[in-house]
Amino acid sequence: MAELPVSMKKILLQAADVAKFVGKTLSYFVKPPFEVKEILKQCFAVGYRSLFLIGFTSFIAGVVFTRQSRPSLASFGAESWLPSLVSQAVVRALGPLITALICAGKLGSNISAELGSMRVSEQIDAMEVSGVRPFSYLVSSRVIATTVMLPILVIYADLIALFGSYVTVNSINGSSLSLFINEALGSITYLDIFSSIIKAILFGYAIGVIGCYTGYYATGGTMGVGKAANSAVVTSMLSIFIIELIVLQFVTFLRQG
Amino acid sequence: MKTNEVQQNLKLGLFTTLGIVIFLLGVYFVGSQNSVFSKTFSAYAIFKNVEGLNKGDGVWLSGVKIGIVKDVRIFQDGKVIVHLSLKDKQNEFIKKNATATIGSDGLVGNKIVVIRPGDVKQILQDNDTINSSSPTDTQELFDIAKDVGENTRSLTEDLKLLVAKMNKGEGAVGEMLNDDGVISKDIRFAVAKLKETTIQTSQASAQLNSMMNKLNNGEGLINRLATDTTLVTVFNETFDNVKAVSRNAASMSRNLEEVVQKLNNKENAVGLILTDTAFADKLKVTVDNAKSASIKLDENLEAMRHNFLFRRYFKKKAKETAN
Repeated sequence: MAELPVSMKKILLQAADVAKFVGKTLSYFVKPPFEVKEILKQCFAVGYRSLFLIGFTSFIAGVVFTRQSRPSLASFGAESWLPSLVSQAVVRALGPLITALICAGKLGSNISAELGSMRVSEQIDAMEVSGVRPFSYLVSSRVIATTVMLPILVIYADLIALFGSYVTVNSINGSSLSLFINEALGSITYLDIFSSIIKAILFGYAIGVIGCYTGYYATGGTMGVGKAANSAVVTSMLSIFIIELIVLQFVTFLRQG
Repeated sequence: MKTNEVQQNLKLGLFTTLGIVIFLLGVYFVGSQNSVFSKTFSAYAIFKNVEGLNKGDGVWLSGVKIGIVKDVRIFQDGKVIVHLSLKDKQNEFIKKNATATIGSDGLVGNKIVVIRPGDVKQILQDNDTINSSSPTDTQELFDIAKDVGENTRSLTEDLKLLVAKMNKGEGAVGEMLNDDGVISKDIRFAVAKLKETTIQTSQASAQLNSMMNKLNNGEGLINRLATDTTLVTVFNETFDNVKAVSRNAASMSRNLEEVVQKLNNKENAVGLILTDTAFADKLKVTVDNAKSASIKLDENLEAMRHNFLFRRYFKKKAKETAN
């Protein structure tokens, strides 16, 4: 171990820290006492307060995706496939991805900055001294909130994106809502729905853990807080795409099996 | 608990509950689309080739989706057994002799199983096997396409040779295409003649047309014949006259025949002249003598006119003639 370069040692040590942090958050999921009030407060901040932003972007995504896909399908007379194409795209990928990316930007930076400023102002140290469990109160509650709220936000995002798609299809073809629902839901399977929800849980967990980790271990005063927030957003977004790829591989394996 | 906190919790509760309700509704609708919540029955179909049919693909009866493919499995001899999950209420329409084929949902759509209902009285029961007809193998289609391609190549080669010959002016068609060829000239001549004929025909047709127009307009002789009743009397008279003339002509020809018969007979004078050559010669000599005598008589008469004995008589005659 002594022969390893310093940079490599640093990376390995950080990886060990991250693993410990992740393990600790997971253990706090099941280990009472739970900070229920704080969890509910964080759920409200994460879920309810993000709904408008998520809904608005999802609606636009549904409209844009439908408009962009239509010419390609219309060129070989398959315009009627538009609802099923959009529903599959939204449920399988677009809904979870849009929700997770927006949450990574909005919540990741928020959590990291909040915890980072508490850390650099030594509030967390003070909490530890006063006997309050800062990890459970600050970290666990936020990670639980993001993990639980993200799937619900994804459900809303899917619904609103499909509504946006329906509005577009209806304005072009005048097709009925029942036909759109039949076409859209006819092409979705349980695997699509549950893989989407599992993905959203993983995204939420990743956003919470990364935001909390970067903020909880922030150093270097106010500049350090900024760096932590930036790092939280970038790392969260990167991890979202990596999780997406891994889940896709897993789901493809299940689909073929 | 503070009022603000209560309000927040209420909003959160509503948000979460609504999200879960939407999720459950989605699950229910997707499930009902895939016949998860409705009673189903199973049927099997064995195919030689399923052309990429997958688990979850649709099963159609008369263009209506009645179920899904539950499983696709290869079993003995490389044949494929397809497990179909069909809506329970639909089995009354599927008879024992129904057939299943592999179709396609649209031109480029997913593969589907298409069931033709059959026509016997017994309906399909749970776990029955439906008769199936396998689709044409893609490889077979490729083989057919290959044959067609080879034939086309052979045809194009022949066509190439043919065109080369024609370009060189060989053969009847080549000569025809060549400007200086005999056939080409003949064709041109024939075409020119045809053109002339066409023009003439056109003119004739125009004249005929004009005639028909006149006829339609009530002009010309034919129309008068058809419409003018006074002409009938004239025509009747004319025909009567023609009849009388014919009768006279017949009578004349009979008389003429008799005359000719008499002329041929030697017993009368004219017949003797016409038939007896010796008599004719004698008659000719007599006529010559008469002519000579007549000349001489004329000379005598002229001499008498200048004679003083008859001069007075001739002057008196001339004076009477002048008055």
